[in-house]
Amino acid sequence: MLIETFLGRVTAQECDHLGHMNVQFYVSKVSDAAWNVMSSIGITPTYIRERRRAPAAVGQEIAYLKELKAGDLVRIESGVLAIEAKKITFLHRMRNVETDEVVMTSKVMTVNMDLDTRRSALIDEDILERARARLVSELTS
Amino acid sequence: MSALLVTRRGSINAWECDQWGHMNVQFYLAKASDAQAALAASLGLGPSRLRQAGQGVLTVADRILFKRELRAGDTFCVHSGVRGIAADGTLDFASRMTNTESGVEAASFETRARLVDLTSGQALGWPDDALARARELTDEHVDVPPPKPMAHAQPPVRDLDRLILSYRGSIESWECEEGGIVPPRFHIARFADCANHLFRELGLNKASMRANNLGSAALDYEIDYHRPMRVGQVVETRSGMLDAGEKVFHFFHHLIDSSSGELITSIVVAALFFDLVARKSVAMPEPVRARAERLIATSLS
Repeated sequence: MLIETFLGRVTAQECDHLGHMNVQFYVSKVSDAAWNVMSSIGITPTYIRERRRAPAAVGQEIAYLKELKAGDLVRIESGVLAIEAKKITFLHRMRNVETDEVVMTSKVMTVNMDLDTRRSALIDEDILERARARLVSELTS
Repeated sequence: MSALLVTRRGSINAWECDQWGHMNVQFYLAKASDAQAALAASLGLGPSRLRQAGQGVLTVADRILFKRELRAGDTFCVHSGVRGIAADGTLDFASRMTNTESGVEAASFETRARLVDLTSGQALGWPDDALARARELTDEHVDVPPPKPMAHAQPPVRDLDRLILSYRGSIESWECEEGGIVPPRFHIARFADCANHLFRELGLNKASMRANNLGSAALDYEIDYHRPMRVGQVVETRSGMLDAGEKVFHFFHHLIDSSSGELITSIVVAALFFDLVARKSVAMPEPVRARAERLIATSLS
């Protein structure tokens, strides 16, 4: 099941000369959502500070489906698409709150990183277990 | 918080944090404005309807209590509800920002807002359907009671030239929302900068504060937005001090249109100093207090 990981608004500052939200701010909002979906599987702010491990994005696929304008309210729902010993792929789906239309979908591929050695590291078993419980299909609607 | 709606959810980014290692006050206001927009949408005043009508929901007063600092990486959620509808046509909203990991309340917002025509700035009556929905949602929200009035001397509103000139500048287009009106965030960004100039008057600067492990934190804001601030305006801020208790002290800023002399926004701030290592409040250092008392006398004379 996807969970709500971001609820916010498009500001005028985020819009470009085409009159809609610039692509960089879709990614910015996905980044905010990412911390919440990670938290839901145990990779909380405290875990990251104390365990010194966190998923680092190594790849991203985005489909921009609808434009967003200044003032539009947006929601992101997220889940886990795939799990390996060192890797998690997250799914994020952004909706326009007012119309409920899906405006963007994104897959973010991550590798678990040791924040001190800056190298990949195995994901803790309890995190993997929680991530498995959060698994969704790409076709989840 | 069952009677409140979720109106904002996200996380704190490193670039929203200031020299004291926590989220700067302006971003609390930015997130509260987003929450207010979501609440307006729940009244039927969604962005497309407001955009089509050339209208906006404008904040006219804010009371903000900063209860716990939020740091980069923290996740948060804002719940909001309608507190009531005033006879003058303003709506009172209550919002609570919570650290979603700890469940601890980070800030509370009591916001008074009105519907305006974005071009003229004229106040408008709420549409009947929005008013009906607001009445349905109106609740005392006893689990999140409004704060007691802020106890302080009233800031002077005349002869402002004798106060400290703590900022001078102009309003840029990138600061404005639809209709060319500046949202609360950028009022507060200026006030946050003004505080540093006020501290300079108290004999404090970044180096001396760092040397003494001294940081400052706002506890409580009382803000009156007297009139909209718009792109191209030339503005300045006059600041002064109201009182200095053992730990908590109050100061104020008036944001003024430099051309007309009209007040745009006034804020009273309750703040304290804290130990940057222990992250605990400390008493105002005595040399600072001596200067503060002189500044209070000047401000209230």
